[in-house]
Amino acid sequence: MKPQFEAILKTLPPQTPRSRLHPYSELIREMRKRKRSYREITEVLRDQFGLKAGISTVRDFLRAQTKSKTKHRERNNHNLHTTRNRKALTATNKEREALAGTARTQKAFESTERHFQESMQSRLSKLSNRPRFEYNSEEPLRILRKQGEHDD
Amino acid sequence: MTSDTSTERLQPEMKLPVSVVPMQQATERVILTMGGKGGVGKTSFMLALAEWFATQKVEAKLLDLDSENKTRGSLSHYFNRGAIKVNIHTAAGLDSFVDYIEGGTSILLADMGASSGQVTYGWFDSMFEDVQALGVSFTAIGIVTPDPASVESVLSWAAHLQDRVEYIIVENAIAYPADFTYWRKSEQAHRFRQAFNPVVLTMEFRLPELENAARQHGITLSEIAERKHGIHELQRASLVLRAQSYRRRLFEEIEKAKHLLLP
Repeated sequence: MKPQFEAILKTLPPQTPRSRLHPYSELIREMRKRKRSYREITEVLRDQFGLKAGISTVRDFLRAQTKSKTKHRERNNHNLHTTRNRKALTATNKEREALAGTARTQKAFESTERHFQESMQSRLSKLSNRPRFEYNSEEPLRILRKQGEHDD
Repeated sequence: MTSDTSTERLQPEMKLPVSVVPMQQATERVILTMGGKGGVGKTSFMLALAEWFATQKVEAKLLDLDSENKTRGSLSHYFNRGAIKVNIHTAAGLDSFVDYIEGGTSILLADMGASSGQVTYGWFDSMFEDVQALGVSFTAIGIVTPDPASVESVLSWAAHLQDRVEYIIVENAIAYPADFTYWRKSEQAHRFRQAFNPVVLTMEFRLPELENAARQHGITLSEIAERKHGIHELQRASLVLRAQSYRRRLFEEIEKAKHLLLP
């Protein structure tokens, strides 16, 4: 990063936590792990720290925390030693494309193109062979009515 | 001097592939009525057409392919030996078209009878391309009346013949006033008009005393108009005048479709 940008970043004041529950996040998470209810958590926060917080506030805070952790974990997933990641690192280009569901060999492209051409030819041929006028003698003649005209 | 090769290419006897011979280079024309429904006025219109060709000084050969009308009402009845009776209900079907065209006739007027549909469709399916390659074009004449069955018949024929022919539709007012609702306002007829853009002609209502007597005695409109017959009941001045005015107006109508009648 440019020294100028770094200097600016250093002058910025530290970001204040968005939630007043932030300093107690560790405690809250631990209590939930130990199967404590939200009501018990709010009582501990009130009795021990004089912090008044509703049950839904604690629950929403914890959910927001969990969500951000999940995102972070997904972002760093490629570092995990899963089978998929191993294959992504060691497989050939063809295998990687297949893994990603984007494998298209030249043969496949040619086949698709041929199928498209045949389909177009077939449709054009049907259009040119189609009679200009078709009439079903079994159907009675249908009188065309003007808009707004009805049978009596 | 070398001969004109393009002209040589267009000689009808040279039987070129169909795609090489455009329609406008046709040198012969077969004009046929779309049979199917009897009593709609096919023969009456063909009679008028034959007389119109005579006024145009164009020789037209008349073929009577109506096997149902043995005597009265058929083309042969009116023209006696002038119209050739042909039985189409044979394996050869409509091959007589080819024979007469090869014989030097440039216009063939073929009056098809009722129930001639299947034979005609089959013949077109098997012979059309080869006959067209000879430089022959086809005009199909459909006669519609207030009766919906006449419209259905024309539409059935058109569905089989498709664009192998050009179409003339004659609105024949067999009653007064005539109501052509089924032809003019039905969805199926609308689609037919959109597909083939036929020339539509009108044949006005004729007084029964003239029409019936003419049928009975095999007398044409022109013969009545020019008093070229010995039938007393058709000599009346009023009927002669009527015949003259019917003929004049019908010929005016036919003029509208001139481009579909001449080769």
